[in-house]
Amino acid sequence: MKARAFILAGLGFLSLGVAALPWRTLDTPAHFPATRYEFSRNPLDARKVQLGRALFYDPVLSRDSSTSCASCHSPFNAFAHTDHPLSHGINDQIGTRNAPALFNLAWQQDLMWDGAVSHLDMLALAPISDPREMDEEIGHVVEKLNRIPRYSSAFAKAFGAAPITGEQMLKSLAQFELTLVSAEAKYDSVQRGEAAYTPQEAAGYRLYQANCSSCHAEPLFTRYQFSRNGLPLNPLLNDSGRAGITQRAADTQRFKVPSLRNLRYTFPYMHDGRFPKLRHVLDHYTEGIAPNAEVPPELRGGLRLNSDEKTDLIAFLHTLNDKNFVFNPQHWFPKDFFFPPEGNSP
Amino acid sequence: MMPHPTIAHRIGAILLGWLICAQVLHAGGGEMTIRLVWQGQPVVLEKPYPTASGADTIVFSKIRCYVSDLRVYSRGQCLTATASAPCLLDAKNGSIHPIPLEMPAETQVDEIRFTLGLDSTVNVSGAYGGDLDPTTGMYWAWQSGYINCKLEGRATAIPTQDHQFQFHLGGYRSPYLSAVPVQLAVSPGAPLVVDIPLDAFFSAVNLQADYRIMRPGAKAHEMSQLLGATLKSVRP
Repeated sequence: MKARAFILAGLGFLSLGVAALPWRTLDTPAHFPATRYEFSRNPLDARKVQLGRALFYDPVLSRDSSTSCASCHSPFNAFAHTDHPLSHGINDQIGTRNAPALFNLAWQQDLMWDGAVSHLDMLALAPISDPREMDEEIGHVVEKLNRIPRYSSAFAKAFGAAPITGEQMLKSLAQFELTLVSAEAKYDSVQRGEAAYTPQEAAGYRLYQANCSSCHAEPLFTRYQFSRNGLPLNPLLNDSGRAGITQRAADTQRFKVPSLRNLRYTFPYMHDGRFPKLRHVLDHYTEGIAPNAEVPPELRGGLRLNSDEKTDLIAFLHTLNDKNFVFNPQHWFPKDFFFPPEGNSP
Repeated sequence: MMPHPTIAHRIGAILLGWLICAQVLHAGGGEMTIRLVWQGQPVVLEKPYPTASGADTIVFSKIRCYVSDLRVYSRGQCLTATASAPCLLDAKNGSIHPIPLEMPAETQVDEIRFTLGLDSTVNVSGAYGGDLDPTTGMYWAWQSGYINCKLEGRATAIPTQDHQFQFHLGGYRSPYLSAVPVQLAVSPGAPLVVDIPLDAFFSAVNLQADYRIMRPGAKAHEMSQLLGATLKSVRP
């Protein structure tokens, strides 16, 4: 009897192996590296992506239903925010960091400016519970979602089980965020051999390679490492950066190196939003780094760029702006979920 | 001629196999019990417990701990094919927690091994359900990682207005790993019972100095080790 059971189970596994589909992942651009997200634990599913999209835009995630993820991560700003240097939350509270842009998250491991979040699935927990952002508690959010028929129905269809759980909610949000892939800038067209740089952009590309690429490496335009860049400490914020997580003195004032993609849409710049314009950023790198600042060797003494070179460099940086990504309606507010056409439900 | 098997047939075969296998394994299933105790008695939330010195009285409002990777051994040989799923002990649901074990029947267990807390992999592998669902309140929100043990309550000796203590012991990054491997000898053939004696833990903690540990680090690591060292198997 026992032997028969194992034989039956073994045959069943073999047949399932034949019938099984590979984990659904992103269609990654050919010139991008392999993704870091483990899709086997959360294979992409169109219904879950759409659920995540709805949750992303729904202020029900906040304590007073006033603030959604999109409040600080607007699709038209490459999912960053440009109204405030520092993120804002419920009751007009102001946080301590510039809302980071959200794209190409499948290639990242440690998220947030200080790498506090080590997995995309768990990213939403931080803003939901931060008293200066959404000031809510995930258990209560899940309770609220379970009381909303359109969510009960959509989650049941997507996950095949009720009630809604925290795991389901977080994985849905992660699925939507995984689809925020920015790889359609002019730079990407050049990489695919479909376009060419102007002479000024080409000059800027050479300057980028010589001055910026060690930290902002192609094609993601960052290595997603944590580094100091010579910014003087803002005494009002007194932000220790990565050290706040690792508790290592060596990580003091190290922040995650952001991507250079979509800079046109993601001003102001730096972890505290102190620079409103790209020119100000370059001025910092040429003149703002103190001689004794603890910075990577490439930045010691500052970069050497004259005004024309800065202009050329900025021209190249503009080739990293991905209009198709920013104006992709598949990422926008899901009107049909919240206001379904007559006779339809999500 | 036999009809060609469809996917439904194949899935049916799997389910049948699973059912039979599960029954075979279940026939030899065992159980281990973990108890949250104070001086040998199950702890009751909101009940005052005088310390051994009599200098302090402790009231617990919340006790939650993860136990994972539970395995049983006989003469050095592991009897559990797969470790049990992580389990959350919550005093809100009582202080005696039976944990089912998949092990062969009629075996003489002489050693238990498990982890008080969760290993680093679980902490960095995304969202889980069940006892690991973040809605349990055991996942730090401002940073990644599970809280392995949560001990909250009041103690008269704490020099604050509310006399509250909060120990949120966790951390999965080296060198401050707070999950504690536990290895305990047990009497062969006896029921598998492990006590977490909170009186022993609190007698080793200086509550006047350490009453609020809410983040990973050296102190959380030290307290976790201290708690893990108090665990003992109950011998008949």
